[in-house]
Amino acid sequence: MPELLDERPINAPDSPVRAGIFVQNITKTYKGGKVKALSALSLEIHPGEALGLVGPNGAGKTTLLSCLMGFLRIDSGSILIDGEVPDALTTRQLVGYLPERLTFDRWMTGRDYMQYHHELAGMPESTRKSDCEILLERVELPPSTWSMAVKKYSRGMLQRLGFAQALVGKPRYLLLDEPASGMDPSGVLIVRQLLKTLKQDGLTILLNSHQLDQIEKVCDRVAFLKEGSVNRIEDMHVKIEQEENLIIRWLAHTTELGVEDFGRIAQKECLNIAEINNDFARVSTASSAATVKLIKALVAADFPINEVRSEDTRLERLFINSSKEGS
Amino acid sequence: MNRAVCITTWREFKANKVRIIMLTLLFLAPLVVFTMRRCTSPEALNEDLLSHPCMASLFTLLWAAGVIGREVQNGTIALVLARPISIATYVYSKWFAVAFAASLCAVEAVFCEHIISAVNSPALLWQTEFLTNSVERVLLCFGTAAFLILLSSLVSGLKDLALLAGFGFIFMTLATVGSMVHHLCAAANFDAELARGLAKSVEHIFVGIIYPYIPLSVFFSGDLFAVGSLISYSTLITCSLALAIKVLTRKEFSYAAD
Ligand SMILES: Nc1ncnc2c1ncn2[C@@H]1O[C@H](COP(=O)(O)OP(=O)(O)O)[C@@H](O)[C@H]1O
Ligand SMILES: [Mg+2]
Repeated sequence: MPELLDERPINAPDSPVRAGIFVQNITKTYKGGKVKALSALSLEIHPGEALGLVGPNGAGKTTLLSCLMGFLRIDSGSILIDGEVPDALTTRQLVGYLPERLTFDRWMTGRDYMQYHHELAGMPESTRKSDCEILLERVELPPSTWSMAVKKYSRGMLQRLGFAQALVGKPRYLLLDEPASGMDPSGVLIVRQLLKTLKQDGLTILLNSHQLDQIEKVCDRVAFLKEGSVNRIEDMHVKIEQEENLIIRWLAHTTELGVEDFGRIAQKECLNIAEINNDFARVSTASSAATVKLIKALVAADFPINEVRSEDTRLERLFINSSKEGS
Repeated sequence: MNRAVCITTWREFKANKVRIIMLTLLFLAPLVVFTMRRCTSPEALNEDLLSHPCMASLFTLLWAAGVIGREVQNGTIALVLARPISIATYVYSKWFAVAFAASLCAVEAVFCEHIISAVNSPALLWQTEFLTNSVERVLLCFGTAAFLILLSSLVSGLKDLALLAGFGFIFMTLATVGSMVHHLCAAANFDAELARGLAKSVEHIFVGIIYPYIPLSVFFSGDLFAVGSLISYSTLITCSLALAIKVLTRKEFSYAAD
């Protein structure tokens, strides 16, 4: 997708300006200090990485993104994006933003909207039409809807248009606030695929999403936000040993072996058998090594298993644990 | 000045049916009135019947109402400011877009009126009064637009109309109180030169803000009054735009849930 790439020179490695987004100790309150949205939050986003932002409703994710865009003024602390403050015009050239609740001039058509933002972003007029069409195709908005007024768009279509809009200025940083909300399953897949491609192209992505599987598949690191500060940061490339919850199915009609046999074999390798049925069981093992052993044992006993899958993902377990921790 | 912001402002106006209807009415009403007058009173034949330059203020009001406030209300302003566009550029663009469009409408209206006069009595075609009138209107549009942009930047939606009404109300109240004081003083045989002077100045300031009119005929005669109006005119534009920029710079545009 070379058309979408940011071709601006990147700071030389010895330049005093550090590339990346540096958030230091920021606080942000609403209503004259009555509502605390962010407190002493620090975060670094390195060039080229995708950072996921996870947290319960009201944790301050949208507020953080708005601060990074310079829409909100922080009470204290500092934010630097490639060494510049968020509301500097040079910074705005580098950042693409998809807000949580999209706003549109309702009378515009999808194509108008893209071309408007293309011009606002200061992109050359000669490539305006083609750039916008490429982007609309990237988010798979059908061409028949390009000349439709956006007031006739469905929620998912608006979201796709919003995503295309975020890419219009060839951004180096992409701040996305729940990009897949309101989208149909195919939209969700497109977003996931697009995020992967953009990351490969070297964009730095900050992704706030409630879709943990999406974050898990795209992000290098995940920051857990809680009550306005970063609770923990998880590196998704570092494997960790933790309990695994599995769902196992087998072809009951092809075998003499029954539920009791499964129980006997599983007992040795499992921490816990939560549920067991004629052709189906939910168990938990201590680690992935234990899972391997369990599968081996079942296969060795000629148990006709045809499916083993994780009941929840690593991020889901972390999320649940981190929500539990505080309360 | 940003082309995209200007063009979008115009296109948005075009997409609003109510405003288009009001614009048409504003355009047609004086024409109809003058045509009727020409048909009924023969002595009107010898003068060019042009509407008052204050029509330009109405056109400006129609174009300017909520021009920034509605963007704040809808939240579209944040996505514009997320682009490399400074708030100053945004405000200047909105001001220019409003003033230019309103000028165009106002000047077009004068031309139509002039043509209608000329159709009735062709000798009027070469009168230049309508040209002076047009220039006065353009100046009026740019001045009024600056003040209305300021009002629109202060509030969201169309609430700037309420602000304008409030402003007018304060002016009326002050004027009433002023004249009452004047009468009381006169009744008590008390010479209140200072109070009268003060009331006059306040009135001038208010009128200068709401109706920044520069009478060109007086201007070219070298009257001191004309210089004063020129100074207050340029002050109005500079201060209004600077204040609007200041107000918008201090505003926060939140996408977070309240
Ligand atoms: N405009 C606002 N006025 C007052 N409080 C707000 C406003 N926006 C957000 N908040 C509060 O700030 C906190 C963080 O909100 P938000 O950033 O929207 O969280 P998230 O996006 O993680 O769900 C919440 O407690 C919310 O109620
Ligand atoms: Mg949010």
